[in-house]
Amino acid sequence: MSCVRVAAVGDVHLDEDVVGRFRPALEHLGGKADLLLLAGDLTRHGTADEARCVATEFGGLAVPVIAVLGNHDYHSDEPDTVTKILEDAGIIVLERTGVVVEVDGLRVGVAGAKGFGGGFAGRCGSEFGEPEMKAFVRHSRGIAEEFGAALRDLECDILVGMTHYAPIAETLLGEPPEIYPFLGSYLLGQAIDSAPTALAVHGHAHAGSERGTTPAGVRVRNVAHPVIKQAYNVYQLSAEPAFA
Amino acid sequence: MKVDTYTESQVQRLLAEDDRVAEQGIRVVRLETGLALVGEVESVQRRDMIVKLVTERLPDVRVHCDIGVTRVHEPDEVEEL
Repeated sequence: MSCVRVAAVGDVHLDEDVVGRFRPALEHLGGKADLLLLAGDLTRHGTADEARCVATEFGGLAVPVIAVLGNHDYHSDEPDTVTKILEDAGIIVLERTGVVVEVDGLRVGVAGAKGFGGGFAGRCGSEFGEPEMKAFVRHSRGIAEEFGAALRDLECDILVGMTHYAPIAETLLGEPPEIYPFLGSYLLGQAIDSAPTALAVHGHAHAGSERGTTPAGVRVRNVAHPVIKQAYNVYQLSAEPAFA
Repeated sequence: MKVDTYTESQVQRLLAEDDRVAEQGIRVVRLETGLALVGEVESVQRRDMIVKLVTERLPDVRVHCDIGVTRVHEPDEVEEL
């Protein structure tokens, strides 16, 4: 086998009222995909109770489940608690880190980070002026730098990058251009392009578009649930580089 | 009551900042007859809560609800990259 099937969805915003909705579609996941990526905003407010809902819905599946957190998962200021509850349910949570899972002898590397805003080429924020502005952009830059290092450090046959915020503007099409700086950063795209990434997935932009490409040709997919409009999407990746 | 841009902003912030909703993906559209709420949420209860809150906050405005519940069916296609 020289390819892997990657299932992905983001922005599922679990709470008690949603528990059980995804489960029927997940029961056959093992026959459709080799791993599942959750691209952040797994909860509504980032509470422990909501994290337990995520654990119930996405725990104990037939394939490895790998997640990043999103801005909603930080809202209650307890991302470590959310992470611990997910990890206790067997979900791998990445934040500027990576993991390699083996699928029928193929090493699939996934590096993940929440990411942050800041905007895109020619229309981005800078570390200049008030402390709040510098902190905003510095936060985005720091995450992107460590995310890029996590991607480059992975030794694998197929490399996937996952963020919550968008790494390119193309997958934001449909969102008001005025809010692009709150939806993503070109620095994440630059990080993805610094490694031999085969696919990058993200969420966050509910009104965005599914497909895009980084400047270096890496395919980007916005898998926010309201964008893909089904329980998850499946992408098949080959071990051979697509842009050889 | 006429819905102006300030009202539109008020509703957008209400939907994001009220913990009973916490939705950032709902678009507020100003209409001649009131306002429309457009987007998708994860449950019927969330849709109903959004309409309830906006109606309570703006009792003199006619609120059109165009919010759907995002489908959760299994995919039947694979995209080969």
